[in-house]
Amino acid sequence: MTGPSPARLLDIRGLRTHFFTDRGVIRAVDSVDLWVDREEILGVVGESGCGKTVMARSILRIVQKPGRIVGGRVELEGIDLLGLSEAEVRRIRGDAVSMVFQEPMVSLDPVYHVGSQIEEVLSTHRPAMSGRERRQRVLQLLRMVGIPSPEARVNSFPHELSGGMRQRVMIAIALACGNPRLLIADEPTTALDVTVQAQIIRLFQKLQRELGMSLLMITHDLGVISEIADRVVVMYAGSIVEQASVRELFDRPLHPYTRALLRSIPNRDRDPRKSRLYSIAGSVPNLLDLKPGCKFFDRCPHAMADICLGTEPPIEEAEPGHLVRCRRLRGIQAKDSL
Amino acid sequence: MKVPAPTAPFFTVKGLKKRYPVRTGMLRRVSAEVRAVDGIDFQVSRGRTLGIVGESGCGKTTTARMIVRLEAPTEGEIMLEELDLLHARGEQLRELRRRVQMIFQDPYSSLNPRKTVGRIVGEPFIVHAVCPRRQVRNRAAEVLELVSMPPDSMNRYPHELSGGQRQRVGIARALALSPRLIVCDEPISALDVSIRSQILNLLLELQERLSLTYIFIAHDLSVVEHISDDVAVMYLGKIVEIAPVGSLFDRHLHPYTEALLSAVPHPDPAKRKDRIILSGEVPSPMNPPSGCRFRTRCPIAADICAQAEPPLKEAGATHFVACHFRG
Repeated sequence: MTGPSPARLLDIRGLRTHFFTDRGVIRAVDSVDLWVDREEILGVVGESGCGKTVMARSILRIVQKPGRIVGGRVELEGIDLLGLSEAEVRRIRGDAVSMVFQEPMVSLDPVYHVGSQIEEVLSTHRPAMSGRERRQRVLQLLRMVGIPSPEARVNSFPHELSGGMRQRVMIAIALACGNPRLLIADEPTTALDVTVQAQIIRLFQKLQRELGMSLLMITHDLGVISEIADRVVVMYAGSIVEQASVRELFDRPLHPYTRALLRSIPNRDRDPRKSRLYSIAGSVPNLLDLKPGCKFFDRCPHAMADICLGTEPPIEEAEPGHLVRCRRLRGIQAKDSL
Repeated sequence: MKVPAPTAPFFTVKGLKKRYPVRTGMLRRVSAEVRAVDGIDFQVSRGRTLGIVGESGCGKTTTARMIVRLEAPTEGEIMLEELDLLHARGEQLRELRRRVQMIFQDPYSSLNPRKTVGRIVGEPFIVHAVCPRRQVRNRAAEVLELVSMPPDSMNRYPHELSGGQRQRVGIARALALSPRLIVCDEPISALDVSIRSQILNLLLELQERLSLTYIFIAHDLSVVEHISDDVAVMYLGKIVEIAPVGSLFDRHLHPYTEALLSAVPHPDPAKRKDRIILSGEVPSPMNPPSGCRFRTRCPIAADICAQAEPPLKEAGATHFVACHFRG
């Protein structure tokens, strides 16, 4: 891995966020290293419980109890967000770094007009703005996110909007301050129909370009990732198991988990209709009783106890820019080339 | 009526409609109606799978619920072999309930949290009195074995199971009474990605072993393409295109089918392509557009589309499409 460079916007090192439950400590984010370059779209992919959402919430320090960030650094342009006071972080949240959540119906307040919900962000972060300026800005934002006839929509309640329109409003709220450096989007298209999902993906791409911001896109949907990301991070049970450029990851996945996941999705060019699909044994592990060692051990077709158990394998550069956390990698690659 | 099947019809739906009244005001008078399903026809042959795709509000789930009689249709006909699903009473109705079962989307909310797996799967045997009480446990164990659940799962509660195991229990319950037709309503979309292919494989295996007929509702088109023999595309309560799976995916005709297929993101960045991005969203089924319902979002709509509703017509061998300009 290379040291910090001016291209790097966000640099996360050794981030650990644990949940202290009655039944034990859940290491939801277990020493994560990750970076986002300027104007880059980074995709984070993983299944439920892999820690992707908790990782994202840790960046903004909005982890819910009984979760707590117990270690690591989250540097935004060289400043460690974990070392700031609560008041300082609050100035960054919703301004330089914003987040769009999965379910817009839950995140919007049902009793306020969407216009006033966008205005609220402005009155918090831009107290000097006049009411008139704020209203102008709201209309401009609604236009920017592609809401038709914004003058009428300002006074709509969230329930009067479709799912796609609500998600557009959420994006407008996230970008209200006008100077976003990083937008974090957590499963922003999961609740939407495919034709609307395609619209929202296009919108994210357009805004990323126009505003010159970086985007951290979290999803379980490999299709969405391949569509939008420049680079991809794959998470499993709290750890990053692989990261690479999007082309590299989909063309040459190296970690057994990534490989299995990609093979299990029906592919018309590979799987004849109604044939049995490749499937991954078992289910997502319970984070309360993980064996020490590789977290994918129980489900991995290449697992060897003496090599894979004991300590967690380190993440290593297998190819330039392609990092993999697997001690069996050489063995698997040798077998592949036979 | 319209879609001929290669073999004798096993399951037939004709002119099926479901309207929900919308009541407003102090007197709760009916002021409008939602036409959730507005006249659909299809047939499914024994042992085959009909996939139904479409976006929210297209009527696919309402159709599923009418087939298992969780909703009463406003109009139309549903026939399973010689049995009339809508007019069956008494013993005939019980027979139908045994023959037609459903697998639900969410295995978290469709299993009773207070009952053990054994009781959940055993309940159909008791309700339908198909075997003496003392055999119920054995029968439940047999069905659980069919879905590869370990025998000790009998005494477990749903919360002790993983999502994939819960869906297996949901499938076991549907299989208990040896049904002929199973309606699968988004059976894998609530599951983790790494679990989905296990459940799809199970459904494929059960179909072969038990010659089951499936109506498979899903929004994931690559899954529908993999599992289906025929596919119907619904939009705002209507079937806009229905065809054998290969024909639908390779030679689709309706502009909506084209846009829907084009909108699906593929897990292959080399296939990032110029997508057809439809403008707007699905209109309200309370007030659907006149003529062709897709015309408000259709890239090739013309005057005629507002005036006349295009009928579903044959455009090739067993390939039907409802569009004035295609087919």
